[in-house]
Amino acid sequence: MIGIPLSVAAVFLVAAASPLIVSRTGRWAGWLLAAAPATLFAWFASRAGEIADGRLWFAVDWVPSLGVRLAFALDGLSLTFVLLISGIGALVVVFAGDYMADDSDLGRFFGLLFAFMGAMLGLVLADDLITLFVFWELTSLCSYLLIGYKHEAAKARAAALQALLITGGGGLALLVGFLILGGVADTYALSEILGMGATVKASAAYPAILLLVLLGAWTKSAQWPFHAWLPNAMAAPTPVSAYLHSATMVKAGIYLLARFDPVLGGTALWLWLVTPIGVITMLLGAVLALGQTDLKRVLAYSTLTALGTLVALLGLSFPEAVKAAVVFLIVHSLYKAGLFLVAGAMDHATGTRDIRELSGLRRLMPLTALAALLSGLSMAGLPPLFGFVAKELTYKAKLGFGGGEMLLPAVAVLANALTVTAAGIVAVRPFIGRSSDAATRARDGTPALLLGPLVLGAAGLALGLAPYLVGQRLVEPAISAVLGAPFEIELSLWYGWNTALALSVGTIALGLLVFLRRHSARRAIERAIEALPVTADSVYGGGLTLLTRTAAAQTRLLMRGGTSIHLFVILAVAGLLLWTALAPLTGLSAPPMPRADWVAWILAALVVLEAIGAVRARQQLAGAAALGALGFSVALLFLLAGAPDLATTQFLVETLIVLVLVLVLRRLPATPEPRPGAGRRAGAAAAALAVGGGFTALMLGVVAGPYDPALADFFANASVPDGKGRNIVNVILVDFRALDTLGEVAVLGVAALGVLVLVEGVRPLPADRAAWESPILDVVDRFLVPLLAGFAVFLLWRGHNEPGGGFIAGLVAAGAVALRVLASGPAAGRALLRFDPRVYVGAGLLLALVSGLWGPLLGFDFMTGVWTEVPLPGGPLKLGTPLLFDVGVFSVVVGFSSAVLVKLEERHG
Amino acid sequence: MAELLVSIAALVGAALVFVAALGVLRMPDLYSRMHAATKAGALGSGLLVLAAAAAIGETSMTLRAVATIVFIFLTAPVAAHALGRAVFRNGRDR
Repeated sequence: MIGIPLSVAAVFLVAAASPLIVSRTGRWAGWLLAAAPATLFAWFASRAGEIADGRLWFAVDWVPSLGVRLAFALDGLSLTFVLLISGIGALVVVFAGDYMADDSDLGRFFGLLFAFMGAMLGLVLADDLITLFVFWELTSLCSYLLIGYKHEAAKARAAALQALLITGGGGLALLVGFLILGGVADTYALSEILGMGATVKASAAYPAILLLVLLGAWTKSAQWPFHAWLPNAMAAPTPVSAYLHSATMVKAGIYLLARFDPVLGGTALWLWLVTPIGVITMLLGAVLALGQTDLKRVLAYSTLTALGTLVALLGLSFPEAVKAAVVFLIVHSLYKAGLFLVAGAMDHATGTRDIRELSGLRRLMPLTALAALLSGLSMAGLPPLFGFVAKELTYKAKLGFGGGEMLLPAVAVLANALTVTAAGIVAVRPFIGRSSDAATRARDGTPALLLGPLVLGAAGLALGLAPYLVGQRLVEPAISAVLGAPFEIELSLWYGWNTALALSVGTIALGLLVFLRRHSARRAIERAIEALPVTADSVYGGGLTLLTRTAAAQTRLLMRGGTSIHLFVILAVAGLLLWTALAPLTGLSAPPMPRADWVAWILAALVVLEAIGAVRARQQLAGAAALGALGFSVALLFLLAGAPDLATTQFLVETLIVLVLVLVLRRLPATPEPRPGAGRRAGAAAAALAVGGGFTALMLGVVAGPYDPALADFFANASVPDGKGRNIVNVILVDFRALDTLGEVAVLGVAALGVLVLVEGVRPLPADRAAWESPILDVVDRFLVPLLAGFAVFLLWRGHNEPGGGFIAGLVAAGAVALRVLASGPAAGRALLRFDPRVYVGAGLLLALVSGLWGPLLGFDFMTGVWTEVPLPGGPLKLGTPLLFDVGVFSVVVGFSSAVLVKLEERHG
Repeated sequence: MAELLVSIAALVGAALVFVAALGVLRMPDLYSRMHAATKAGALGSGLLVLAAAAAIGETSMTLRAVATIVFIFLTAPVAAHALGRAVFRNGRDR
């Protein structure tokens, strides 16, 4: 069933295209973008009949060596979530298009929102533990970016970080749980694991698996004591709150519990871990909701109540409870998303979300009021809305637990009564009474602002009047999926006179009573919160402070403010490791000295002398010069050993390094460095000798051993037929080990960005030291720069067969840029480059990546070289993707070097 | 005969480079040292490269030798000029 992964991929594609779509279509972007999730909704809804009997399935190998597959499956539970994600997603996108029309960064917003949508779809469709985990983490990341969307506000950043740390921490626990579970089941395939409940529950690792998976679910679904991030996440734009933090993402934990019920559920441990936490969260949310003045925070805390209810029901795990959970899940997503959008609409119209400043909006915003009333009544659980059906089922399930246990129903009545109050506060109070000052200029919003609230409210009414619309097609398969066995239900609005109905009546009465006393209730709760010695937020804050303090103390211990100490520690440890690792290998016996001709000995002596010179140099400039000379001597040794590519690279790198060192040293005072004390010098010498001596011994040991030519022979023989090149070094770089090279140039690209950021903080150069302007240098530069540039292209072209290649050519081109920068200043360097160095880095990486994609297009592996021959009069011209890859490497190297050179010189006072 | 010419060129080149090195060591001030390093150095290494090219006697080698000499003649004066200028501007020519 290829449609499943395609639908996920399509959403990510829309995410990538969002900035473009928004910039082209402006205020119609929301409507246009909503077409994507709406289409998905229709497509998946039309599949409901097929999955009523079984599952649709798709899988490809992802990491076959680890048994990880990119696998997707669609069953009743997934379908329920998919329809909520795509349906509510479409409405939220339409809403956001107008709600955030003034936002200058709307493209980024929609990009993130769609990326989240794709991740969430992937999460609920995944049929592989690792696939599920990857999408799970993606939703956490998207949530982080969306909560912190208004990143100028410190509050939003802190809230985003809190959500990321808590849900991300739970995600890590989940990963460990999945790995243990995969080990026990001997597969990561979810569909297989689902049938192994008995095996898993019997294994010794069951409690660990359960706890770890539950930690993932609890953090994601904001269960006590991990709930603090959810109310704070209200710093996100309202469409995000409506979508992520009420209807979908926070339900991921619920999905996890429901999904793993057949494997992990039904035990006493499950019951006593899951249900009590759910009940605590339910009560906590219900009480705290009444202590809020911000509409969105009232809704956020009432979301906690709903999530707690769902967790408690799933903990009970018997069919009636699961049935109630599935129905309530749908109900809550509909009314809560609707109410969040209503809150957004009120905020948009009046400029405030404070419940004390909102009243009398009924006449001014009649359609919004209607939508609010429908969703509010569903939240309160009044007939004939769908919320009533869900509440009846919940009461029945709780009454059904353990017969005589009356605690559970009693707590549920209390929490639901307070939910009735909250519904009154959010959905009724702002619309009745006399118009407040804030309300005077309020009007109903545009169609985009009304569509979501009205459709969601109407859906709650329609499903309440006709629950059979979703009964057999959606709820029944979903319950069967959770229970792991077929289960038949009949949903209806009216079950006759029973205990549940009596509880409902009591709930509503109690809720209304509290509503009348809501002000004193709020003040009482506010006082109680202030009196609390510890809150979840304060524990989180304390933990964070402790973490940063520990990190700071550790940094002070290890990084003592000087590179010499830092280097000493690194070298000493490296030396120690080297010798301890070396001792068992060589037995520390002196290996025979290699034979070498006298030229090599002279060069070796030169290297030693230059090293001494570099160490003893009193001025940094002299030290840099000595180091450069040392590098050149080493390059000559490479040349002598028959490695022209290596030698050329070394020559060029040494040249550029000396140049950059000089540019940096120019910024430092020219006074000689004070000579360090004898003790420090001895320590430094010992560390240096340990590393140098260690490597010498290692090399001698390696050379003394027998030489195995297998690898060298392979490359020598395969280079021309497979790699189409005679320069083995280059063929290895761009063909045989191209993936390594891709990684390396990516590192180079990241390093370039790092340098650009760091150089921003460099102290500016005094203006008098900046001027150079030498006509002689200028004239020579005009000859040399084109020569060097041409030479670079030549090296790039011939690199596949003779010494050269993208890396070397890039360094030569960087030399040209360096010359121009020195002769005529950084502006001239930029003019020579035409584009920003970052463009070279990005374009190079993209080119390298694209060159690797040819292979998969033709059915080979990523990065497989694809060649073609162009007939030319002078013989056929061989062109292949490795050459393209080499051009990418060239571009990254040019970009990186130029970034350093240009940026360093641009920092003038 | 050709061998003799190559030997003379190589020996003179080596001698010039040696003299240049001596000059850098012994000359009293920076300008004189610079003069020794560039003039003798350029000519000395130029002769050495020529000798090498003549000894090998291939067209491609001769081309490379010529290119090398051109580059030395282009860059050595500029380097000397830059050095001299820097010292003169900083007033540290003693």
